[in-house]
Amino acid sequence: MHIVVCMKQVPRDNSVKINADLTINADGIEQIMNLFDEYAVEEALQWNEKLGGKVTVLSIGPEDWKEQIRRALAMGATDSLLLSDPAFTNLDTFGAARVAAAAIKKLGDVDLVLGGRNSTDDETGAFAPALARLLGWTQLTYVGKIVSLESGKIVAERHLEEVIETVEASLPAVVTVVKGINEPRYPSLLRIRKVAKVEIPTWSAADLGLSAADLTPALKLVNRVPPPPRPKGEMIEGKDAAEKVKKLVDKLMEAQVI
Amino acid sequence: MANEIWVFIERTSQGEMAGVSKELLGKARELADANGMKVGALILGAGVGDLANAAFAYGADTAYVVDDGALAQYTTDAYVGAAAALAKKYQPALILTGASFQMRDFSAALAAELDTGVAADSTNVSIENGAVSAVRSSHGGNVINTLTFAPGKTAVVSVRKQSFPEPQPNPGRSGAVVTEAMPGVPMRAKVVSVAPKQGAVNLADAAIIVSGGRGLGSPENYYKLIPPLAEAVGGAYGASRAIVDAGWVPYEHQVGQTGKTVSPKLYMAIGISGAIQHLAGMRSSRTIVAINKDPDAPIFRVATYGVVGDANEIVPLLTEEIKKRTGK
Amino acid sequence: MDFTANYDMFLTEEHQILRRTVREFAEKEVAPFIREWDRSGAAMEGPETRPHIRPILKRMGELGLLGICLPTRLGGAGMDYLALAVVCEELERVDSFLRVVMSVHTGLNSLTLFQWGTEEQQRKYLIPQAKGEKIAAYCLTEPNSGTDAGAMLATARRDGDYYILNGEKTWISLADIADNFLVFAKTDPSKGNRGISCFIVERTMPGFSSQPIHGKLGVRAGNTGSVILEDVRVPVANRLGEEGEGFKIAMTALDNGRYTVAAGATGLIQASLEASIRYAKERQTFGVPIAEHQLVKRMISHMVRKLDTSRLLVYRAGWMKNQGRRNTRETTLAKWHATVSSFEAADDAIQIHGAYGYSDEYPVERYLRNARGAIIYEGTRELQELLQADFALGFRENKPLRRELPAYDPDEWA
Repeated sequence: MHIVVCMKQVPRDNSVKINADLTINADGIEQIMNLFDEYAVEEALQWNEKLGGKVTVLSIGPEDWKEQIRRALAMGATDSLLLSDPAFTNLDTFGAARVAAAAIKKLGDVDLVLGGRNSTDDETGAFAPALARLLGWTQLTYVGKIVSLESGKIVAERHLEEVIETVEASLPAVVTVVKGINEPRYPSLLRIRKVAKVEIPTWSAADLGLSAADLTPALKLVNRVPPPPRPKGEMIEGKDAAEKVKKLVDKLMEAQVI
Repeated sequence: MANEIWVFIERTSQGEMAGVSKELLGKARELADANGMKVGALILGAGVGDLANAAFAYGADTAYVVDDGALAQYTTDAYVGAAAALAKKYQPALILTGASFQMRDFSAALAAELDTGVAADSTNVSIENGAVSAVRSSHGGNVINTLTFAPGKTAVVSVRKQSFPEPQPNPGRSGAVVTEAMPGVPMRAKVVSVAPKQGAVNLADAAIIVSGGRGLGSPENYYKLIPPLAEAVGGAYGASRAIVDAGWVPYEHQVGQTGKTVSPKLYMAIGISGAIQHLAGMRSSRTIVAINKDPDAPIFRVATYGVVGDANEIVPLLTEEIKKRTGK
Repeated sequence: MDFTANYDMFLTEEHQILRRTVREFAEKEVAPFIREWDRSGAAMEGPETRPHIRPILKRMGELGLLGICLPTRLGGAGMDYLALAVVCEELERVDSFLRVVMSVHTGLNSLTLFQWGTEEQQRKYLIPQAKGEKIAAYCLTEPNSGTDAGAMLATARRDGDYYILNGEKTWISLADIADNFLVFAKTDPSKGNRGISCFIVERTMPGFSSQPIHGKLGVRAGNTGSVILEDVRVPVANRLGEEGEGFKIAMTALDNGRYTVAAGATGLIQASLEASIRYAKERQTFGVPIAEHQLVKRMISHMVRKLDTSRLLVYRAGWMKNQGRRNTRETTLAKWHATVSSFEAADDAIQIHGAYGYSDEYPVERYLRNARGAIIYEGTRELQELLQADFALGFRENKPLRRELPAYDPDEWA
């Protein structure tokens, strides 16, 4: 079975700034593997250990963004693919999905695409559904357990807000996973050394046959601002805990929130 | 492009129209009136009953209905197949959906199917000179984006619950019902079973959330203090990532960047210092109460009411006082 | 800001992945519990009351940290000596007891076997240690001899194919936990330093016992104790190096141990700096975050200076080790500078935290207590100062050794 994991590199925390041209400035913030994607990598590795085949970790980003790909390789991914082109700099979610779809079509023999339920920076959760539609594959989002995986068929639990839906679907499919589906492993130190010199194949827009139109954002970003500051709060003072509690409850009842 | 705004009508497990759909109908009505447009209710399901009339009462002019056994349960293929066929035929300018997991799945796939884009988990939507704009936060609430859809394409916007007020229904309103047959689309997935989640906590829906963090000192203190207070205020209980990762509380309860994003009318943060990842998940709550030993904890920066003190002392008193005053 | 960025002249992408892995391990598996572990160590010591130590050592072994800079043919991870520094930095960034494990198990013991051990000794002892299956420690200090190692009283008397060891060693990290010990004892008490020899001693050998030390100022999450040798019969095959070569061996071991201490201290400075930055931006006085006050800024900037200089000194020493160059001067300079700096940085971190820094609500008081010991152990501050002067004045120079620490060979080690 050939499993592709779509992995995104994101800032470790979201204390980002906004540049004058509305792009995001994450300078000085460490870049990490999107946390939900880490679960996807682990899930792919576990099924690969059971079924054999290969696990390709795929990412879109600049050439010098290979560290997280190597990290996934050190965790145990067998193959890697970086999709990199100056034209990819300002992709939106659907643009990224078109790039990934072109690559997956070009790979040709893919049975399953795994990814995190969303990235922790853009938080659209729309990449995988768009990818599935572009590939013409079925999609299973918010998966908290893959019950079985075999040639041509997957059974998975979708962990929704209040229910767990067990769904049977045909392969190939695009699946997104939630936190807690597994316990991601640490990269193996032996593999860190081994993968350090691995050449990461890199495909450009031209390699993928993508035109400027394919990469044009569907939505135009017209404004980007930090959140408005919250109105100044009030510290509840009092001679002891009992008095503070009484005052707090007064306030909450006055505001009709309890 | 037709002059219509569609709202996808979601149902509760009891089969009634979900609150978020009412909110969206209200907003759609307001936008339609201001722009000389009509409101369509997109109703998909098997045995949809009286939903069309309910939608009219909340502001819809037309109900677009596909009532078919294939839609008995949500699958992306069936729902997106039906919705896309309708949208391609009637060309609405805008389709609004809720932002539950199911709707996030649906709206993104639908947008892709319609070769347009999606503004996911938005908090506002507007129409100006025919162009649809949506406001959505990203980067854990630290960035507020305004996005505009290209004209000539159907805009798809999923909207976070409680972004708009629920309108008063007008049971006297009526409208037209347009019924279409289920289109022939490949059905590659089938729901085998649906089971309630063990210990499910729908934090996103809770009007009041009481959350605890590492400042409580131990899991024992968490369970001694937080659920009883949550019960007293009739709310759900949440947790910071720190104590979820430390195994005190199951992940279901986690509020923050990699947990749930919530905006209840009251959020009580107890023994939570307010790491940026936590603030990301709760800073849009209407009223925030923070109880913390450390007067410099960043949580106080976002708090409406702050109390400096030991949670172990304050919370039992607070629980008692609330029970006494609210008569519970 | 990422204080580990822009060391590309020393570090590769491998080191960055390693750093992230070790950081995750320490933050996930140690940080949430460290306050309790540290507190529990204030009252008592000894493995029976410190149930966290063995599982953490096991995890470090599984991850491959304990043999990080040893060739894979010897059970190691095949990474270089700079990787050892990165591991120590990241471990001590969370707590010193983790780095102490690297110091004694990897730096003082395993690398010494790597440098001086016979093939047989390496097969029997080094491979299981590199894999983390056996834990190792180092026994030089005695109740009445620390810096003045030549004054040691422990003896090793030859008896056929055995030596019979007697004596007491103290301030031994992992005394109650380790399986294998490098023990220094006098085979010829009349000869001072030249009469010292080195032995590989196993805990299971009859006559071996250990006991914990209570009431330490710092590193309370770890185990420190005394080792008592009463007529312990050690096979001649377990003598490391030649008879009388023990002092030289002890000193080369310290070149590696001190390197890990210096790297760890660098991590501790970073922890102090990170905690201070976080707090200085949060805490407000006179209507502004205290980060805006000049005297707070000065403390922050001094920490930055100490962090970067310490790190550069450590990486230079690591680079020299990779090249196979003797590095006693560079390593001791790094150790002196980084440990003294780490104590000062922790002190300033407490000052920035004000009264909160004085309680264990915040980690900085633990940093201070943990930093203090490293100014004493593995060569006191004063000894390092003298060494630097002696090297500069030409009173001391590196003499060639019978066995040098092998240079890093990426192909042969892989």
